[in-house]
Amino acid sequence: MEKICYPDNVVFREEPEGGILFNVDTGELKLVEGVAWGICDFIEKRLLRDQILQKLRELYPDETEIEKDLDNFLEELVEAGFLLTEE
Amino acid sequence: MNIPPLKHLYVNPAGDCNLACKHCWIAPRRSEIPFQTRDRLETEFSPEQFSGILDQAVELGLTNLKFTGGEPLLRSDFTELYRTASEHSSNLIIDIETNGTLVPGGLWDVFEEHPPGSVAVSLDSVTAEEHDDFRNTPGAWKRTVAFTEELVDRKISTQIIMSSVTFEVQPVLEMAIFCRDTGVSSLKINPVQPIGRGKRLLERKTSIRTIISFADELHRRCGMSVIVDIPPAFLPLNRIKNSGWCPIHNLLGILPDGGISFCGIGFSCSELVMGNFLQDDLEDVWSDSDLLKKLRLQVPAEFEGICGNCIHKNRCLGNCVMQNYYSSVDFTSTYWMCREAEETGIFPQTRKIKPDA
Ligand code: SF4
Repeated sequence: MEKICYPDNVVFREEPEGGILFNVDTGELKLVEGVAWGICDFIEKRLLRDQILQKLRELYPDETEIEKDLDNFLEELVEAGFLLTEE
Repeated sequence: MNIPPLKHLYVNPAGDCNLACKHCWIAPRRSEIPFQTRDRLETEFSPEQFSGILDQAVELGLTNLKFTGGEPLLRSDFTELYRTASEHSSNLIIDIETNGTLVPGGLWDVFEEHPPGSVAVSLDSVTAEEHDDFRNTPGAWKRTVAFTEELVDRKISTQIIMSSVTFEVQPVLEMAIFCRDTGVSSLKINPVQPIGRGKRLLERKTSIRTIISFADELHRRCGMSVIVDIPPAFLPLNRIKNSGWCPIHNLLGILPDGGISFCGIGFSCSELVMGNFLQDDLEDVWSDSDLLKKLRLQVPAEFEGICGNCIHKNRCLGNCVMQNYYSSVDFTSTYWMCREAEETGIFPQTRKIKPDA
């Protein structure tokens, strides 16, 4: 899972307390807060999966499970139709 | 078209009420003696007949039943109705909305045997005079407070519903303290709606800006313990997850004469009564009613105005479709608060599917 991006029908909106992923076609909505919000913002800025991991490692040096957590979250977004991936 | 499960029934055993509240959206006839239950009227369904509709509703997917009204506890046979529902199916969650001024015989005993999911009690002020004036009934406050305390003592999940016309924060803060001190589980603030008697009250118009800042300040000062019933477009993100949604696509309302409508709207709009469970098969109404078919087709797919351009439309469903219908005879019209917010340029851009250019 290298290149990741939102599909054309998904928009990411930011508000003071968090972010919203919204699928324009299905009306599905996902609210993201905390680290998840940050990851969504990195995706919006077109960072690759490895670049996001690098950023998270810098931000949370003591977190040992960070790679697993990131991949789980990205997987969750893919399954919900909020994310596209390319190897 | 897929027919969804019928998960919710709003049951209105009585069309009248013992109070005459200034804001009531149904504006029912007032019963004769303020603090006395009355016998079932000939025109009202009996507990046996009620049992029949439960059989059919459970087949269609019923999980939640709410007694509301009119004042449901006005009927002296309420306990029988409640028992009928609670013994019908152990999985059924039963809630009650009441003004808390009446205690039909055997109520506490049946609650002891079959505790309700929750009881929502209407209380508009911590001051007796203010509440009684709003409810047009001296002595109402004292009874409602005693009823609430009894519920809490019996460890029944209790919510206070407070109506707000003035959108002043201080009275709500006082009510929040009352709730905390009494042990009430939650406090919900209902802005008075421009429907029924509330229409006249709101003629002294409050701007949508005032309502939004009222909600913002309460959220800030009271945290999650106070719920202000406004559309999700005006809620911060951390509130949306916990907000309740009208289950209009999975809901029917039962009127005292057995009439079947979408909810209590059948009291105000007789054209929205789709049948009568005393004569009609509930399943036929649920699958064949032209009105239900229209609702399923139009809501939210054909929403007009800002509701049609709102990212919340699939869950919010126009906040209250029946209120929207009441003001425009159209299921697709826009909820008044959001319409006014859009007209005054304060509807949040981040909540629009297509933000303004
Ligand atoms: S615009 Fe309509 S769908 Fe959106 S929050 Fe308001 S009432 Fe709900």
